[in-house]
Order: sequence, then C-alpha cells, then structure tokens
Amino acid sequence: MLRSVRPLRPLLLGLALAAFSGPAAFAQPEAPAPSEGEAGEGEGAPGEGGEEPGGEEPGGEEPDGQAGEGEGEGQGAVEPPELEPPRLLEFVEADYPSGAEEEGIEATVELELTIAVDGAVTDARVVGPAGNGFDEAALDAVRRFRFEPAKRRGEPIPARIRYRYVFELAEEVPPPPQETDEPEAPAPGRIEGRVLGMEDGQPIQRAEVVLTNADQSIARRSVAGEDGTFRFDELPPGRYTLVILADEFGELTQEEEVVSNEITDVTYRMRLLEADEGEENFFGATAVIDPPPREVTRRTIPREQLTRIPGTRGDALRAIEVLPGVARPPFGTGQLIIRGSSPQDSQVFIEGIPVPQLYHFGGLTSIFNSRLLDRIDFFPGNFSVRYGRKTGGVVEVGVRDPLGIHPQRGIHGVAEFGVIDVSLLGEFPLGENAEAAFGIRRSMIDIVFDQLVPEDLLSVTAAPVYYDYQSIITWRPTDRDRLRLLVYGSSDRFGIVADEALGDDPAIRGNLDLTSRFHFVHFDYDRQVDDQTELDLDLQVGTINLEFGAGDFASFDARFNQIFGRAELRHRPNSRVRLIAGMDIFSAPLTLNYFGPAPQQSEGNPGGDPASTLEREPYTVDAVAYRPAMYFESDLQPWEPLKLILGMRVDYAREIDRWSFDPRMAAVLEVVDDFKIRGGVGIFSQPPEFQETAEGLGNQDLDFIHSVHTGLGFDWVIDQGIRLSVDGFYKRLWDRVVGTENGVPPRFTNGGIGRIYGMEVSGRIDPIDGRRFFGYLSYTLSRSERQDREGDDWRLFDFDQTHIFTLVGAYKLPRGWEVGVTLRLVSGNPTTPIVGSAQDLTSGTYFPIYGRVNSERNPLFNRLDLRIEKQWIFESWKLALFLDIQNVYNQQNQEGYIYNYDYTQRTPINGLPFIPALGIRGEL
Amino acid sequence: MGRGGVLLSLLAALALGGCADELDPTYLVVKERVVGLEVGVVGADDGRTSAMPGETLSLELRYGAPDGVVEPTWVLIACEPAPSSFGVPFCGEGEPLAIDAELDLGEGKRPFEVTIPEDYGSDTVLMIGAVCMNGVVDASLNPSDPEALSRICTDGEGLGQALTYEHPLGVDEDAANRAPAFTGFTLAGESWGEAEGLMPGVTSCEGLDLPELRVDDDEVEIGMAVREGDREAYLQRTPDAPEGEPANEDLQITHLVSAGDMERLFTFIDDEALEDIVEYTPPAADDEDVDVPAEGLVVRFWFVMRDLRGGHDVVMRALCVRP
Repeated sequence: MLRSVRPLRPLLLGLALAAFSGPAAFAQPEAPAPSEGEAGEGEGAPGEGGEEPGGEEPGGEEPDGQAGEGEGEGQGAVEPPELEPPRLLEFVEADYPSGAEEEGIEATVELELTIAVDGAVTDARVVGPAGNGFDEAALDAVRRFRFEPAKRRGEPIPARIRYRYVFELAEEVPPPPQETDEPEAPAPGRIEGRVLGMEDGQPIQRAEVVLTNADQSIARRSVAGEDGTFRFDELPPGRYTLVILADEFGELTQEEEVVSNEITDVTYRMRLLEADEGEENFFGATAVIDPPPREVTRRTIPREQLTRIPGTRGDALRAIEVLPGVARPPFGTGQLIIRGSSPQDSQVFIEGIPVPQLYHFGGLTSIFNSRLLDRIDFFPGNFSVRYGRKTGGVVEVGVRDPLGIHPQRGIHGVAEFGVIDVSLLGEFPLGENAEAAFGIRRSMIDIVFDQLVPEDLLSVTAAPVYYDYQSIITWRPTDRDRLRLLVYGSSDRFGIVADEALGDDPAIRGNLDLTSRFHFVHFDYDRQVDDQTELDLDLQVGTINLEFGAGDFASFDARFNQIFGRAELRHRPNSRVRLIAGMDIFSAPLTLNYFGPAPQQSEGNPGGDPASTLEREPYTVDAVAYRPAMYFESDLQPWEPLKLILGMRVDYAREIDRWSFDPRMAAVLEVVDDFKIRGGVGIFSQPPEFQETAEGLGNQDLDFIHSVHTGLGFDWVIDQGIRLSVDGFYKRLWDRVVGTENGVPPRFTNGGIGRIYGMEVSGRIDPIDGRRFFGYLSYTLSRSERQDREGDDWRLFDFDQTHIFTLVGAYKLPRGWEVGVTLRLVSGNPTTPIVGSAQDLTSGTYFPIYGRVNSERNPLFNRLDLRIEKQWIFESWKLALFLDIQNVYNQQNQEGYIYNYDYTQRTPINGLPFIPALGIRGEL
Repeated sequence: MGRGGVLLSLLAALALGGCADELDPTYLVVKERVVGLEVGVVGADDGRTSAMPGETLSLELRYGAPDGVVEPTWVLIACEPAPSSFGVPFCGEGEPLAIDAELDLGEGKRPFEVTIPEDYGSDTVLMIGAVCMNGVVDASLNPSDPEALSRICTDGEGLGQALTYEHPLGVDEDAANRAPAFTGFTLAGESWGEAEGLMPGVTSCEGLDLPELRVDDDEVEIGMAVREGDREAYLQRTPDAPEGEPANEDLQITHLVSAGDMERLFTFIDDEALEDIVEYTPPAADDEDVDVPAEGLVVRFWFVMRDLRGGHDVVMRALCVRP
C-alpha cells in the first residue's frame, strides 16, 4: 500500500481568500476581464510549482490550476489584482503518523497560517484538529512551507490564510484497466448561470466562481463576464459546490445538481457589503501583523454592524452601550460605566492614546467619525498590561487606514445630514504609497435649541454646539514601515445667560457656560523589524481645555498639555512564544484656576446642598502630572489547545510619588472545536483623580487605587455565525479614594473598599452566508457595592444595575430596505431617599436630609429604539435615507425625582423622550 | 464625558423634559412656614447685626401662613460650628453657647438670645434647632439626627421644620454689618402700605381696606425700595482677589405670596439692578386650588431681604382679590 500526503488546496479557497484580505481583495472592476490562464497564474495556489509527494500533481486539482484549462468563460486580460494571495512555492511532506497509518486512518487538518513578507510561515495554528498525531505532523510540515508572499498592489505584505492539510493513504496502483464491456460513462451536463446584485439586479462583473465536486476530484474556476454570466461545461453528473466571490459583495456558497445532457441554469443574487464582516477581515490590510488577543474577555462588534444598531443613529461608538457589562448612564449622559466601576475608572483609547471623552454633550454623538474606525475592542476587565492607570474597563478604538476599505484607489467621500448633526468625510491617495482621509462634523442642535428652551426663562448665548474633526495620513515608505499622522479634536460649548436666579437657589444666577475641547496630534510609526519582531512607536501631543462657569458661584478653567508616548516591541522567537515589552509615559503640564466649593467625593455622595450654603474658595494650581510605566507580557502556547498570557506592569505617579506593581495573567483553553474556556486574574492600579491630590485641593499623600480582577468564562460557536459567551467575574477594590467625614482637610483618604461580582451572557448572530439578519443578545446580572469607611455598612454603587438586558436585531429587506430594533430592559439606578429637610435661614434655601445612601431604586428602565434605512445604489455612488427613533413608545423612564423647596413633595423626573432623527447619507 | 458635561446634560434634560409643574412653586405659601428671621445685637440702636464678644444676639423667627395663623413652639441651640465643607452644619465638640426652648403655643414668637463669650474662638455662631408650627415641639430631639426630624412635633400635631442659621460675628465696630430695611412698596405704581386691621385667621376682605385686584387680571408690578446705603461696602473674595477686594453687598429679596403667581422667587439688588420690581398675577378664576369668596380673598405677601452677611428684614403686605 502506498501512502500519499496531499495538501488539499484551499478547497475553501474562497474562505482562505476572505481570511486573507476580505471581500475587497480582488476588486478590479475597472480592469479588463482576465483570461483563465492568466488569472490562474496570478493567484497561485498551494502546491503549485512544488514537487508533489507520491508523484501526484496536487496543483492540478486546484481550482486555480483548473482555470487554465477552463472553458473560456473568463474574458479578456486583467491587470494584477489590488491584493494577491500568497502562493505556495515549497511544499513539505508531513510524516504520516505511524499509528494512524497502520490503522488505515485518513484525516484532514485545517490550519491557519501567518505568512511574512518574505514568504516564511511565522505562525501556524490548528483550527480544525484531527487528532491521532495528524495535527502535530501537519504543523511541523507547514512551518517549513515557503510561499510567494501576498501582495498589495504588487508590494509584499504579511497575510494569514486558511489551509487544509489532507492525509490520505493511497491505494495500491491498480493494474491498467482491461478492455471490458462495461457501459460508457454517462454523458456530461453543464452549469450556466448569472451573478446579480441583490439590491439592483445589475450583473456583478468579474465575480469569481469556483466549482468542486464532493471528493474534490473536480475543481474548476470561472470568472463572470460583463453580463454577470459564467458557465461550466462537460461536467459529470452529480452534485457540485459553487463558491462565488465578488469583491464588495462578499462570498456565496451554493450546492447544485448536474444532470446528464442537461443544462443547470442558475442565478445567484448577492448583497452588497458595506464593509468588512468580521474581525478577520481587518487582518492583512496593513504592514502590521495584528497582535493576538491578550485579554480574557474581548468583545468586538464587526464594523459593518456597528453603524446599523438602532438607537445609535449609526454612531459606531454608541454601539458599546449594547455590550454586556456596560451599564446604562442616566439621561443618556454618555458616561461609560463598565462592570460596576465609576466612569472615571474606565478609559477610552484611540489607537492606544487616552482621550478625555468619548461622547459629545448629551451622549448622542461620539467624538470620532464612525466611518474612519477600524474596530472597537471592549475589555470589561482583565485587560492587558498594555493598558494601565485604570481599574475599570477599557475601550480601544482602532482607526483604519485611508482607503483601507475601498477596493478602488481613488477619491471616496461620505456626506451625512441629520437633525442632530452633519458630517463630511473624504479619502484620497497621496502618491503611490500614501493615503489621506479627513472628517468633520458639526452639531445642528443649536439651530433647534432656541425652539425648545422657554424664552422667558433663559437667554441662550451659545446653544449646545459641538464639532469634531479627524485627519489621517498614512505613508508606507517600505514594505516593512508604516507611518501615520493622526490629527483630531473635539469641541463642545454650551452657555446660557440667566438674568435671575435659576430655580430655588439664589446662588445660581448669571452665566452658565461650559466649554470642553481637545486637539491631539498623534504620530505612529510601525516597523516590521524582521520576521519575528515588530516595533510600534507612538507619540501624541495635544491640549485639553475645560472651562466651566456658573455665574459668580463657581468657575473652573483648566488647560492640560497632554503628552503621551508609547514604545512597544513584540518578538516571536517561535510559533509558541511571543514576547512583548513596552513603556508608556503620560505627562500633563497643567494650569488650573478654580473658584468654588471644595471638591467632595462624587460617587456615593448624593450631594444636593443648596449652592448658597457652600463656602467657596479660590484655588490656583500649576503642576505637572508625570506618569511613566513599563510593561512586559508573554503569550505562551505550552500545549496546542492552551494559551497563557503572563504580564506585569510597573507604574509611577509623580504627583503622589508612589509606585504600583501589577501582575496579571490569563489563559485560554480550547476544549473542543469552537468551545473555549477563558480565565484570568490580575491587579490593576489607578492614580487618584487630579483634584483629589492637587495641592490645596486634595491630599498629596494619597496612594494608588487598587483592584483585583478575576474572571472565568467560555466562548461557544454554536453554529456558523452564531456565538454564545458567558463570563463570570469578581472584582475587589481597595484604597478607594473617599471623602473625609464632613469634607474636612485633607478632604480625601484611601479608606474605601468595594466589591463587584456578576455574570454576563452574550449571544450574537452574524449576517454571514447570505443571512439577512443579525442580532445581539446581552444580559448582565451583577452587584456593585462600596464601603466608604471602616465600620460603615456596605452600600450600593451609584450606578449599580442588577439586570441589564439588551436585544438588538436588524433585518435586510429587499430593494435596499433595512429595519432594526433595539430593546433595553435595565434595573433602575439606586437613589438615596430624602427623609427631611433643614431650612437654612441664611439664604432661605433648604438642605435635604438623606436616609441611607442608595437604599432605594428607580423603576425598571425600558426603551425600544427603531431604525429604518433605505439605500439606493447607483453606478458610482450610494444614497441612504434613514430614520433612527429613540424611545419609540415614549416610555417615561424615571431617572430620579424633582423635589419641592422643602422636600415634602416630589415628582419623577424622566429620561429622554421620543427622539426621532432623520438623516440622509451620500457615499462616493 | 466630564462632570461638567454631565451637569449640562442633566440641565438640558431638565429644560427639555422638566416636570416640576406638578409641585407647588416655592414662592407660594400654602402651609405654615418660617419665612425669615430678624437679627440684632441687644442694645445696639443702629441696626447692627455683628455682635462683638460679650454682646448678646437676639434672633426672632418670622412666620407665614395662607391665613396668617401660626402658633409656633421651638427648641434652638447656639454653638460653635464644627469644621465641615458640606451638608447640614452641626455643632463642634464644645459646650453649646445657649440652649432654649419655647413649648408654650402662645409664647413662641419671642426671641432667642445668645451671648457671645469673650474668648469665643470662631467668627460665626451656629444656631440649629426645630420649630413646630401650631403644635408642640419635642424638646428632647437632637436636630443633628436625621431620624429625629420626622417627629419634630409631639403627638403628630402641627408642622415641624428643622432650622439652621450661621451668623457672622463682628471684628470691630467700623466693619460691623447693619441690617438692611425696606423703605416702601408700590403696587401697580401706587404706594402700598401695611394692612391695617388684618388679623391672623382672616381670609375674607370684608371690612378691610386693601388694594384690590380681580381674578384673571393681568399681572401687576410690585416695587420695593431699600434704604440708600444698605448695600454696605465690604471685602469680597473672588478668584482674582483671594484676599478680598472692596465690594458692595448684594441684597437678596425673596417674594412669597399666599395665592396667585409671582414672576420669580428672588431678586438681587446689585450694581445692575438698583430696585426690585416683580410682577404678580392674581389667581385665575378656574384655579381649583384657590377659592375666592364673593367678598374677596385676602392675599398675603412676605418680602424677605438678606444682605447675606447677617442682616435681615421681613415685611408683610396684603391685597384683596375679588371674583
């Protein structure tokens, strides 16, 4: 018995190519159609050009290889594709596991290969194990493969592909067949078909169609012509699998039956993809190899779905609200409340740089144009040592390269007009190796604000006005280098003039004004030092300006000149070990002038004192916050199904002259296919807030705030595109900064502790394989408690929400329509009852007298949001009209109470009412 | 989003979706309440309110009620305030300067007095306590205990209210503060004097000589005049002048009424507004909360002036609203 080891060419070639470059990879719609032979040569295939063990010619079975002998359906010549997949140059035969050979076992191992720019396999992992020693044998072989690297416009780039390694025991070569009287083989059949767009019925030109039969003995390829037609002749009767790849239309797989002497006529309709459909698609588009997940729990919503979530007005960053572990802020204030942590304990990063805010006033809109985002990673806990100085959660916003999602290298633009704001986005090439993009947005609220605010109450001088802008330039001077310059900023201003005192407090009169703006310049340099080493350098400088004025009662004017630098070196000595070393420095020279009451503990303090009763003082601070840090991390794979992530981080905060040391670890165990168990534990430290340590304002002897995160959960891919995750977590906080009793100096101490525990369930259905529906289900069950002083009773955290349930669904209807809903059911926030009042005869106002802090709770919050969008696709541009309605049934969700002057009467104050937002978007 | 952003988001939400209309406006006196107080140094005949060490302060609470009937009892403690930057002020650890209680319903309007010791260590004196209007206060209650505030009045009779007041003391006579005083009122441009013969409990206009308005009348202007020089000079601390810079007092005037609508609760007499003119609108005929009898309804007004440095003046006026 002879044995043969055959690499099964990416039978799932479509899958491999999609993993390599996304749906846009082969888009060259303006190029002439390829001839079969040329197309086959250009794309290459594993096994092609290599000596085949056993004397076989596996390349001959490749769909690509078949193209050269195709039926001539592909028409004309073609320019090299925008992106080319890697091509196998040197195939290495694997050792057939002896035991398996003896027992006659055959197998197929599915692998994922990372191929560097020099064609070497730098990483290989088994994604479809076969056991019996096959996995190890296949890994050993593919690591010695040599590829012609993937190319982007002819330039080599790293890539990741799927590869099947097939182990077959070849039958003994039978003797030549004798002439017999057996009947002739049945007459062949034919498949003819068309590929059309779902929305407009227009032919999809140059769609690639790959045909294979069940045992892979037949594999052919065709390219649709200008009328979208394709054809496969001379097919033996039987069932065939057709995979249709059509750049921005994605991929479609269908089964067809061929009958002798008959033509099987098929028509395939494919839906246009807005963008990439999964995180895999983000890979390979740049010169940077995506680092592997370093977190126990990372939740990512594909970009294509981010802008389609009802209730967000298409704002991708607002989609964070639907993720498990994220609590609902009252009034839609946009605060990030992650796993029971205070908003100031969590941080938003844009490309690794901390930004002061995520949303504009009111939380309706984020500060970064969604269409420039590459990904949003949300780490509710147990995050990597790359992130520090926070004890809550982390949101990392990735910015894509200009033109990165467009198959054509030309000018692209999006303009969007809505009742809330208007925005403009443009992208264009800058020579051969550089691209640029810009975005700008401005609010429209000020135009309608005058109509909403009572004229006789307020005189508006600066209605809510916000704007933000982004500019990105990417330059790749060499195959191994990428430089990016990001310039972005945001501004919010809101001001009113009150001629008389507002409400019942005579102290609040005069101008109310709030200005919040920042402007950042971020320089990013990535270098692929060699096949195993990457260097990432970031430097950001910018200013943050905060101004607040409440008449003559209080004023605040602060300017931070934020400087943030990061250097990270990643090295992979072998496929099972990855080492990361990095340092980051946060420095913020600041000038602050403040006049007003002394700062108090904010969380757990119902406040409510009449402004008239607060003693006010002027404070001036000139200081430099200087916080350097170093971190080290290793990703280890000691055993194929197990990944271990060990890290440590050391932080220093000059303003308190304290160090912190944070060891962290995480592990991921792939128990069986599509089922992983994750766990992690680590220490997280955070410097006190600035006002808590500033000289004159707070206590300079404060220490870091500490917490320990523990988490355990699993990911289960139930079926293709259907996932379920469950996570349990426990967090312990200590050295929490709390106010001193009655706010006496030093005003703050590290005397508080806390505990947070709960469970998160996340379900997701992706719109793959032609599925028109996508949906999310998230549910969080948690409890977050605090103890402010030793001996105090435990109390609930201000935003403790026992149950957070979110259901999102969107369905694509024919003719470019889409409809979606978001339903939220959330426990009401805790409130502190008022049990009495004391009249202050000095001012005529009343002090509320509180009962036990957070001992009551608002009623259940429930809200339904609806989004309807209609899209028209024209030859060179798209137009969309959308209506996004928040709170469709105008549910009166109680957020608290308004009291009368002496707190003897109260009435609920409700959250945001029915808010329809109509918008129109044009996309070039 | 920073705290400022949160604050303004809340403000915007309130502006867009406020629902405070269901609550009684603060200026509307629908039940008994302490509307203000008057403070003076015993023996000082110039209206001085800044007591020097060794002098005695006299405090008199002023009350308001829709029908003018208030029979108060009270318990008050004067003490040195404890260090605190927020919340209801409370006494420091030292012995109280004075403790007094009036439990006789007929005697409750007498003043409360406290003598400032020669060696007193603070520049303010704190007075805390509770008053029970038309009932007897529980003299044993601890005003610093929130639980106690739900049972200020014994047997549940009367309306209880906790009180706090911190009074600035004087350093020298030259810098002493003096109480401001109203010098006159106008109603719709006409002089508006005291309501002669108006007794507590009277709500009908019968037999009274009061200015008259009718239900559903348009708003009328009420003018208040203050003494020239009542805006006394003092050193005011500001962000630009932490040590203080010369300034004149702002006089805060609170307008309270037993029926109808006031344009606003507060007015400030300051550099930009040297007189107080506020509009008053009589009750509407269809106002279900107001019963205007055929002979007319007596509407009481209380005007309370504070210089925010220890000086107070409280004046009552009345008019008649006819059907």
